[in-house]
Amino acid sequence: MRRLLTVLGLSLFFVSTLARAEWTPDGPLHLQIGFGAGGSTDTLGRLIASEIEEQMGWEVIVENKPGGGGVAMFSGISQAPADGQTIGIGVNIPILMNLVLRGDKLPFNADSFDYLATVTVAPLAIVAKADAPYNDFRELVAWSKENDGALLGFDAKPQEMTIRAINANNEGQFKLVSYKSGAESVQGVLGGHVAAGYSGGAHIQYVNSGDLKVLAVATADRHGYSPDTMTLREQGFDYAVEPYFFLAAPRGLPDDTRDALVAALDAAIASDRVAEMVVNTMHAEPRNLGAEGTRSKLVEGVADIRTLIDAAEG
Amino acid sequence: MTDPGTLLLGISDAFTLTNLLFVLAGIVTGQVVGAIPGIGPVMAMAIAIPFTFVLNPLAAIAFLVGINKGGLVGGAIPAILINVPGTPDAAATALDGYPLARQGKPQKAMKMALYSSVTGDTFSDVVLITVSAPLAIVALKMGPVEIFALMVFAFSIIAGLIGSSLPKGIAAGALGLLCATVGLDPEHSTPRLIFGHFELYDGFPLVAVAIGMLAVSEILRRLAVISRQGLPVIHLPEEQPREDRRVGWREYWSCRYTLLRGGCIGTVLGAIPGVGSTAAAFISYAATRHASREPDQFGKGTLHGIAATESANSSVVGANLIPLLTLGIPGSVSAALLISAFMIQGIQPGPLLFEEQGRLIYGLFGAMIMANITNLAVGLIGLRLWTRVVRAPEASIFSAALLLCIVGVYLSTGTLFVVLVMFCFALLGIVMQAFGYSTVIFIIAFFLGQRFELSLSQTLVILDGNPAALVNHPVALLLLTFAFGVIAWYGVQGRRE
Amino acid sequence: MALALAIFGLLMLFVIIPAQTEAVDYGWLRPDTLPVVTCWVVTACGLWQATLTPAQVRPRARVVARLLLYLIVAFSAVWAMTRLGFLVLAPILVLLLNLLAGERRVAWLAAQTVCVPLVIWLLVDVLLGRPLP
Repeated sequence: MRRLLTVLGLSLFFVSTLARAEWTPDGPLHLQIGFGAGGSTDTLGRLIASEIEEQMGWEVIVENKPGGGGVAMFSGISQAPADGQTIGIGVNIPILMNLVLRGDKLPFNADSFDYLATVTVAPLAIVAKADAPYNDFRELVAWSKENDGALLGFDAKPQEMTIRAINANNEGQFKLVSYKSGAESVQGVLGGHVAAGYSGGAHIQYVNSGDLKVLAVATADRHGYSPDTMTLREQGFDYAVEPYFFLAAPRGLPDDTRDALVAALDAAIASDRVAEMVVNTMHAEPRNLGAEGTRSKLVEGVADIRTLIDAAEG
Repeated sequence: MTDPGTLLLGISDAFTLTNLLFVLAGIVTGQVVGAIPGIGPVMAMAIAIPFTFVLNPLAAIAFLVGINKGGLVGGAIPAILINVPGTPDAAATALDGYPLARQGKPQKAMKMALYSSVTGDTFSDVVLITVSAPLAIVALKMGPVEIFALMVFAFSIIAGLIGSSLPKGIAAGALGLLCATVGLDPEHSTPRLIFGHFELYDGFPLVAVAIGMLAVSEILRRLAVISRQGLPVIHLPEEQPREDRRVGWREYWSCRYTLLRGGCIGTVLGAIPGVGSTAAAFISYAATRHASREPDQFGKGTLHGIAATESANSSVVGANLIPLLTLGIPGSVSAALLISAFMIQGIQPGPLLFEEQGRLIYGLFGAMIMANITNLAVGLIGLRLWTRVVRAPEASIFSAALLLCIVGVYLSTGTLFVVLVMFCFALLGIVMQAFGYSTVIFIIAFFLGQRFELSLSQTLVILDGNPAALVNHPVALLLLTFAFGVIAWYGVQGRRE
Repeated sequence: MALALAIFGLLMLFVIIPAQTEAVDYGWLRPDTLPVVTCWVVTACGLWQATLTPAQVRPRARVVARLLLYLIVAFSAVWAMTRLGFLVLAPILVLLLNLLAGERRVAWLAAQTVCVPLVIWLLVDVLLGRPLP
């Protein structure tokens, strides 16, 4: 089936869009996924791969390389030859956290890659039950003080750091409950086990159905599904976490190779199928910052995370 | 509930020839990959998902569910025939299935496994179809404290499998827990005991541990004791009374409580994310032996042992769909893959699914029922085939199986390093068995370990480290009381013996 | 074995766990809490077991030797696979395992050595497009 699609794609490619980019991979393109099968990154990676196959006629082999939220995969990428045959898709947050916290033990740093594209940013937010006695994050902080502490669910390190920073600097009295995923944290909020919780998208359908409300947007910009909710920054807590899905290759790609990959990825990310999946199931918008934008997100991200950690340690 | 019109429309969507073919293809694929050690339905689903891009949503999901269901039937076949579970969740089936096969009744054992599997599966599907909405609300109310208590309760039941030596049993469990702590810790996400290997950040990969300990160790042991060239793996008597080849209605009916218990255990555990069908099978086995009037018969080829494990591990599959469809939370890797398949079709599982995609969901329910019937039919044909396969010489079967384990673990983790980890666990399994340390206890402790530590961490935060705060969690308190009751009961029984 | 277990537990407690975990100064469940607890249990059980009458384990030397041999063969085959690839090593592994298991019929050996890896390769690499080592 896949062969057939490839052949179809190839013939289409030759008939219609002659030589979109001059460089083509010499053999199959390996797209490595920093997570196991099943899950947003895996699904995104496979969709992008199949779009590239169709649009460019390249053969794309998708490989799952789980471990450490992408650290294992990017370790491999950083050692791979820079010939454009091997690229990886992951999420920036675990990479940034590991670079800052234990960069000395990693075989790569933020400059070890040629960055190619971002796919989207997860709509991270802090949510509570619709009938909770607080309507934004400031009120929740006040509530936590009055009630001698409030339980807050999280599922990733930067979220924990943010809340610890708020505990240290803004007199919040939060007790942090660790969850395995945003979906489980949302379940904790719905079940009344925590006062509020972080979520990276799982909350949106509950917000739409009226079961949950958004206390604060945890990324830098407000979200479309709840345009009146202010970000943490706007509420006076100067912290933002932006989980970007991004693609990178080993550093030192020849210019034409990089341009061809960037163009191919851009077309794939802009395709209807990827957009449909991102909009319908991740409740976000496809957002490709391009090669330079991705690079600065990652490089500046290291500094941001370092500031965050300093704030958390008080 | 949705109006009956949607329900009928949905179910009638399912019963088309195209869907039947996809379900059939899924079941056949699932049974074959399930029966081959090393590769399993999870991997088959992961490989199949890109191919479902082009299918319509119902056919795609029905195909994948078919693989999942078929895999559970398939996994029991090598467990029974050669004592090497095809999938980790069939490991418990080998406990009684293999002894029965050794008595010259492999067909009987396989048929019992098939019937139990389909029974358990149908049971949890019926639960899913009829009461998934209220069950999901109950599941929501099960907070971290309650789940922690449930884990403790599960461990207490498992303690029944410890066997003759208490310190050995406890040590095996502690080792399993220790291995489960490798990787990022649940509260602070710091790496532990990884010795510089980033591949271990998420812990020892489940497949590597399960296949290494359960399949590879047995394969190596069997290779090592081969005495003569060209001997088949199992001796099948040419002439055999009919009763020894089939499972009669009366035999099946005598297992009804066992099957029901297995179905309930599997459904409850399946509705909770992260427990998994392997643990469910062993817990059901332990509980059945616990409740049995003839506990000595277990491990010697009793049909109850097979019925307990197969009904439990199969009912996990249907139950996994409860949190998946109602809350969008995957209860297992295969459920995560199903979510991914939904997402590719532009559908998000979750609270609005029944309203927005009611017709598709009822179609899926229809397809599941169809899959259960197909599973039974394909299974009956298949087991004739498998009894042929095991007539091949031992050396061929086990060497091919070993190669498949290597390929399987490589394919699911993408690195040979993990294959080497698999061999380390095979060695550990062999050593533990040789000195009488239960690998079963080890595996269950390992499988439950991560969830156990996470819920322990959550519980400590929620209770603020104060056990007295448990009074606010009556369900947890009740479960913990049960757990102590079970332990005490084992103690009394042990002393009497 | 019981004593070995106790020694393993102590080794983990005093050498490996301190070296391989990070210290964290807040929260309830520290990264090393559960590993330390389990290792104390392992040590205690090892010592307890050592006080009991030793289990009668009399492994047959021949079987143990053969087991180790198989394990070494398989382990080194996988290790070599990281360098030379599946298509070279898989047939060698199948052949070696069969020879070790006492299979001597040449035709049967040849058929397996060629067919088993070939079928796997055809299915996985060619048909499904998944990379093999």
